Amino acid sequence: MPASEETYYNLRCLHSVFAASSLALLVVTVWMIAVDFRRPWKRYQAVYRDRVEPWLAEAARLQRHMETATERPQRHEDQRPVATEDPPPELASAGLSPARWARRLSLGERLLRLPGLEALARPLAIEQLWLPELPVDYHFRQVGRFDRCTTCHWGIDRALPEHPGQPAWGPTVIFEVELPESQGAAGQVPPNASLALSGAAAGDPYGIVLAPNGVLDDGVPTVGAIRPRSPAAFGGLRPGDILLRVDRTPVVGRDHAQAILCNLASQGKAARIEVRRGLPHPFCSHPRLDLFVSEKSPHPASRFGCTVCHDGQGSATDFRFASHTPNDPGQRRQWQQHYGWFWSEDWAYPMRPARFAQSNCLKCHFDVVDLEPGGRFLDPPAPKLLEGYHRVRQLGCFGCHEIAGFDGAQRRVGPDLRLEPLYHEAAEALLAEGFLDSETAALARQVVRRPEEPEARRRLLASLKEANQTVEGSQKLPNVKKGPARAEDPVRRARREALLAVLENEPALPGTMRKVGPSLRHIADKLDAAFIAAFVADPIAVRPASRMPRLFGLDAHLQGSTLQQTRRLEAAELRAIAEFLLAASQPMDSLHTSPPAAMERASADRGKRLFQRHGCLACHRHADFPEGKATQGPDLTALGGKLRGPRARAWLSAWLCDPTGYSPRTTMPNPLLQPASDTKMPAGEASADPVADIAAYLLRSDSTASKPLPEPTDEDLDFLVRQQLAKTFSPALADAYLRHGIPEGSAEAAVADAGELAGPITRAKKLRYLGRRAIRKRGCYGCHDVPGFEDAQPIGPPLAGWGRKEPSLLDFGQVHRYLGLHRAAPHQWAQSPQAGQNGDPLPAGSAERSPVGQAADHGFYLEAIAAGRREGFLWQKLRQPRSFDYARAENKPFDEQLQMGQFALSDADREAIITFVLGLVAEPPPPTRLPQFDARRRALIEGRKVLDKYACSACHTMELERWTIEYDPAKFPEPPPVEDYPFLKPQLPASLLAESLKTDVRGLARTELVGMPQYNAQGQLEETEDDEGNPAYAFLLWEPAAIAGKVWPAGSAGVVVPQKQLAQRRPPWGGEFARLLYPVVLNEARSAGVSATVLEAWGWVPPPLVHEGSAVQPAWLHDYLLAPYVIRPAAVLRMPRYNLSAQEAARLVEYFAARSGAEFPYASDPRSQQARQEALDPARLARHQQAMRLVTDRTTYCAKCHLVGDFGPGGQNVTVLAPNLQRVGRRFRPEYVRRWLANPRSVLPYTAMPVNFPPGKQMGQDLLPGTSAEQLDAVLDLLLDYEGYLRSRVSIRAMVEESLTGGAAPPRKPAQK
Amino acid sequence: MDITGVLGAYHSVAAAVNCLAVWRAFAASRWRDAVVWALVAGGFAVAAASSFCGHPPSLPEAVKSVIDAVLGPLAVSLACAAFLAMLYFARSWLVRPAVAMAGLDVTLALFGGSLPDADFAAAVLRPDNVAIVAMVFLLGFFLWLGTAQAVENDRRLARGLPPREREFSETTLVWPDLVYTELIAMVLGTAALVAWSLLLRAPLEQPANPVVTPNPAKAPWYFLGLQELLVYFDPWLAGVAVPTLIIVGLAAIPYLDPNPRGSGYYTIAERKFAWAVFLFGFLQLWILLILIGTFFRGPNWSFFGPYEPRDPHKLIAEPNVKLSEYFWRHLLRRDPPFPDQAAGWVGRTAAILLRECPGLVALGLYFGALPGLLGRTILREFRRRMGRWRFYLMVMLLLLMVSLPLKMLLRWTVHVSYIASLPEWQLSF
Repeated sequence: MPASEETYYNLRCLHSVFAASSLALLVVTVWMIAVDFRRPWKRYQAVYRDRVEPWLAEAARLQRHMETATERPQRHEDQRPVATEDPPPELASAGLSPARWARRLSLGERLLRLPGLEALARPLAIEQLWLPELPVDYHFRQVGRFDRCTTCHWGIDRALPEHPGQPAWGPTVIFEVELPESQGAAGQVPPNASLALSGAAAGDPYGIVLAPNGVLDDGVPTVGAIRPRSPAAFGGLRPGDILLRVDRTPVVGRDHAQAILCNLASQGKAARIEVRRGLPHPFCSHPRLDLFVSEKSPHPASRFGCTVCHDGQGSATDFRFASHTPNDPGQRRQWQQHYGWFWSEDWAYPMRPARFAQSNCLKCHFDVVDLEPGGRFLDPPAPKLLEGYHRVRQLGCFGCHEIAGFDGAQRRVGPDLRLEPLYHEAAEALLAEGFLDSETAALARQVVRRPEEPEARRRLLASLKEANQTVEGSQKLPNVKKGPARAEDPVRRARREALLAVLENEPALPGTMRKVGPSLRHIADKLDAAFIAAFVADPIAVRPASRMPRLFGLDAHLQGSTLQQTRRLEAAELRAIAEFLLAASQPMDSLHTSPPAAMERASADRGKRLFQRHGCLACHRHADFPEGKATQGPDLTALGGKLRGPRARAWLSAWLCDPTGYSPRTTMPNPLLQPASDTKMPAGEASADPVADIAAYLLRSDSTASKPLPEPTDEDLDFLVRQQLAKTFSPALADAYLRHGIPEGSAEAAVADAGELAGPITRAKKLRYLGRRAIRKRGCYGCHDVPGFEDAQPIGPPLAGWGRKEPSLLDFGQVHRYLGLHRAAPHQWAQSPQAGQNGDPLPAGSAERSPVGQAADHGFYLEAIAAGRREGFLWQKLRQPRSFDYARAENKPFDEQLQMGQFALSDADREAIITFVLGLVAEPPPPTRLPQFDARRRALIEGRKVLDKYACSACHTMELERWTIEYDPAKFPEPPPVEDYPFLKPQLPASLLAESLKTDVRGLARTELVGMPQYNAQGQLEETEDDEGNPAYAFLLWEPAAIAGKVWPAGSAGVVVPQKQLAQRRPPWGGEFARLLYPVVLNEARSAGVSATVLEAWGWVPPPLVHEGSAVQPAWLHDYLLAPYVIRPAAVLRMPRYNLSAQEAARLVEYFAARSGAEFPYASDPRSQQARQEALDPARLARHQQAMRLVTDRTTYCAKCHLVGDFGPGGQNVTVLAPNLQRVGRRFRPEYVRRWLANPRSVLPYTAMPVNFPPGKQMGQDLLPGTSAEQLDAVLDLLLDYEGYLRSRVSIRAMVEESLTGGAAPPRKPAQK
Repeated sequence: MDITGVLGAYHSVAAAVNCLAVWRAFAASRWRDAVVWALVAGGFAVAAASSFCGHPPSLPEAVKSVIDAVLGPLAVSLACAAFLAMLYFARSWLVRPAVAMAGLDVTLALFGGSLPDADFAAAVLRPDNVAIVAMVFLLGFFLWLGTAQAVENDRRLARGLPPREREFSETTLVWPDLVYTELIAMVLGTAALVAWSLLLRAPLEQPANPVVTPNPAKAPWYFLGLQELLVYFDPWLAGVAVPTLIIVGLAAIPYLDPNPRGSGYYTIAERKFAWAVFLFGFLQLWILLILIGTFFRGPNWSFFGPYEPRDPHKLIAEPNVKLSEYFWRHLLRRDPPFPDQAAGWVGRTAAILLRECPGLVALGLYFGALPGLLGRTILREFRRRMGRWRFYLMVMLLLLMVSLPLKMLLRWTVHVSYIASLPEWQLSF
């Protein structure tokens, strides 16, 4: 009660103000509840729970029901199908009542979903994956990751029923299917599926059972189930597909669709249906559930969460705050409209846009090659990333940008692409510059040849250090002048110390990559100044396929006087580089050894034939052979324009004779071209020198002569020299040195990297000095072995961790102005009128000056540049690397302009490289989450790297073709009966056989065949006909297959695959060159009159290596890889000798063993060991003696084709000749030889070798009495024991002669020792 | 961001405010005013309708680019100073409701016309900055209110009447007046906060990264004034000495102020000096610097016009030269003395002092000679009333305060970076 009635304010007024403000509070409170109630994730969860899930369950139930209904008549074909009562009454009533296809909420549930009340019972809740083991880097603090993505993405792990790898709902796609006529589709619809079952009569035209309601919308005509074996089943429709148009008529509702379909079906027409499949986000499932998310995949969501791979803010429950990143401007616009998306700068790790989704695979898969398809996952898991990796590897990005995979000594953080230590370069420099005496020179040569072996290098180092001390000691004594006078020169002294430092540096984990460019150490023997300058100026213009980046003339961003000056100075630099390289070039040892005197004039035509057949095309391209697509080596077209003059021609011959003589670290193998080796040369050519022929052929084609560069003026030279000198010396001193040179013997030349300027100055000296400085500045030594730069450091920033580099630290410069983006700040994208149809945010009038040309997909990157993001930076850096100097070059000295070169990359290449680089995050998860590799997997990974390095798969097929066929199990023919030894019987698991009988909704079973289809003489798939006259292919099985419940053994007569049954064809991996060569040699042989079957010709080209590991002994393979010899006389080319290290050979051996599932690591078989070591007892010898008679029986057995010891089956065509049996014991694993002898084709289906010991047949009883199994074992023992046996023999030839003349003479006693 | 709806609401509110003015003019039978406000209200209504239809009225690009080109720290400061001068000299005109209303309308129209500009909207509608925008309007209102009351009081005092505040009883009832209004304020405040938080999501930013400095790195809004000083002064001066002196100075005011009048009521005429010093310090040296820091400073702490894109790569040529450089190189045409390491402690100190002698002399004159001079000339009356020590303390504080804008002015006009540059001792001024 107030003391007085008087108040300051009018109470009535206060009351009304209070009432109004209370009302306002009420309103905002309701507003608050409404906003919370309307949070999108609640809506998504409700929709998924009430509509999508019941729909899926009901569709699956209905489908199962119909399939079991169909199976009955199929199993009892004699009975009359019971399908007339179709659709079953249960279906019509319960199955299709709308209530079951969507959830009906009870009253309680409805109440609990009301705003505000929902908090009480929480029917819907935020889902969260808590991953403390996979923390997020909150900058110096690792914070446990929690991902709430599944709050909205509820169905992310839903797979198709019975297809655990396939997502239940993909993102929406629209496509058209054509359903065959429902009655006349006898060609595909099995006849035993009655008309009623196929649906037309039952109100389900074409077998489409329409669901009573759609998944998300009620009225949409949606496929609820597919009748088995109906047209719809064969057309590939699936439950959940939405019919958009039938016969080009837009469908308005379920009944409408039904009516149109019925009408069409009654007319017996085929139906064209436009279908929308899938659901929009967030209802659709994750692709590749066999790889991701699902519990059985390698990356279950419960262990890995979502943001580990995708990035983004996992804790967000709202689209906008989860840092989704649109994939292109179109999606960005759509998101802005639908979700109010904005570019959030408040999260350091925005989600990867779809185009870079593969980047983060690199987080754990450091070796990258373990992402190659193979093993369980035949579809490539990360093709773009792999492509990027291989591009980076081939282009040699690591030459300038170190990509270190290790943080410290042991912690692995990413892919490791580092240059190997340059011991060989240092050793070569020591050799050439006369630092060594003859003893140490031998050591140095050893280091050059095998830099990876530390022994020679350490000894060299020790002796050099010793010499160094004596030199220093002699200098300390005043009057002693014993030491070589040159050693006192400071430049030389610095050089010597630098080289020693290179040799001394011994990192714990040395890099393994070789420089990708050719060596320039002896370049004067190869190229002339004009070519060098022209090529460096613009490599692509001179050699279009060159991988060398363009380093000069990238001046589209310059204007006015800066442009003029840059052009002048660059021309001077080019001239200087050529001058320096030629001056620094060291003479090549092997060049002047006279090549073997060619007995015949070199012939370019013969050379061309050799070039094609000798394997050059496996790595190189040539315009004469457009079918060759190899990219390992350079394009050899128009080599004559590059190698000019007799010296260069001699160089080419020397190179072909021994590539390592010029470049010790080249990956080019020694082709082992020897006149004598090529026994297949037609008569009269045997005396020709193949090296000379190939050289003549390669030099025949010439390119247009490159135009000479202008000579630089003296002012430009002086300007550049002064600029360089002024970096070290005061301006006055620099001037003095420029005029008079640096005094000889002065230490300053060594300090300033200016050894060339010593003594009185000349123009040539200036050029050389500038050349050295230009090479140092531009980092040419990152790819090439340049003399004088053995210790130089790479010029680019390292890339490990670049994918997480703070974008604000990227120097964008004025590149957005250059691209015309300065008025297009990110928040303006939506409003900018220019953001039109083509997806570019570029305002009108902005000049696109790309020399590569503009593709449609640039919008994403331009927006990324405008927003200052890494993707845009990388893209522009790869596209126009120097454009970041736009409007800044004017304020920089010429020397400090950007240096990165421009690579000739397609848009796809660029994106692949960006994918790779963005994945270099150096953020390894804990070891428990890293892929766990056993020894076998590791061997596969390490071996794969070696395979890629030397392009082994260019010649050899590493993985066979895989065909998936779909067939009716009841109608597939039986395999041909085979009588075979029990140990050859293929063992297939019963589950696989059962699987091959299981039919899908179309009544078809699936099987995968592994092997080779048959090719015709043109190298194309051979088309045959099946029993019904339909086109078909013959497929040769290399691995036993289970087809229609029966086992088809490998090597048996080919499976005839009708074209219609072929569902999927996976190409082989490797062997492109073999397939290229195959028709060539086949036709050549045929025209020469050799009667060889189509299959046998495969034996003349490089063989597939799919079973290599289980076939050969590791020790043999290792030696063979390092020193290959001719195994098969019939082959048209021999294995070249690769520049492999012993470790690399070992890796390959382990790789093959691991791949074939052979014993690993290999322990030698006791049988071959025993055979080799033990002395032969007489009984054994006698048995061998008998077996030998089998072997040498010229009419029927081995000696008919094989070389045996000193005996060769002469007088036959070389294509029939088979390998020498002498080496079998060392070469093969015994078990393999046994299988081979028993049935060669089951091991190598194309082989011409016959079955010599057919099981159960008695042959050659006069030579070796016994069953064929006993004969087989006896021959096997002999072959394994062959060397031991030979020791007891003098000559096989004599024995063969004897067996021929003596016929069935009694076995001769073995010669006495 | 689509802001046409927000703009429509904004123009509607502006129209409503003008309708209020029309109604008041009607009530007071000021017909001409009513017609004018009705026209203005109509204009705003048209703008609102146009905005709702997706075509908000916008300032012409030409005007925007002129404003962008003209506006710089100097222009903004001079404008503020001019406004202060006008507030003093033309205060009785300014406080007339019609003039104030016109000022409000012009401000509203300018602001509304600027909002369609994406760059302006991005700066102004940033959730952090909305409060500052509100502050501008609130400040304008209270400045007007205070000035209006002061003008009225001055008139009353001139007529010999007591000030307006004295007319009312000095007591206020706790119940219902105080408690009730407090309750209403609480309810309204709560509602406003809830509405605000629903309209503008709290900007939760990413975890701090100690190795990455955001660009621009802005202090909380209430410290932006001090941060702005960092452009012109050594960090320890701008960050430590000046804030300390501000606090000391504010605390000293009761002991320095010799004027007994103006207690408990608004007045300008009776406290001209205090009024001017306060408003200068508060508006020019505090609020204005906050506004500059909030709205005009962008990446790299460059000055951006209100309609200019915040381009982190904006090129600005700002060659700042030390006063000593001007003196030695430009005037004497020789190298300034170099504090050689070899010269020893004394020699170095001497070299430094010699190098900076022009600046040190100028500072000595400013802080040493100027107080005495002022005490003998224009501030003689103060000197007499306050006594020596109080006067010198006040003058020193005053000179310090004035030195801030002076220094800025030197920077903007003749590009003097430091008057006395003593990086060796971190004592640059």
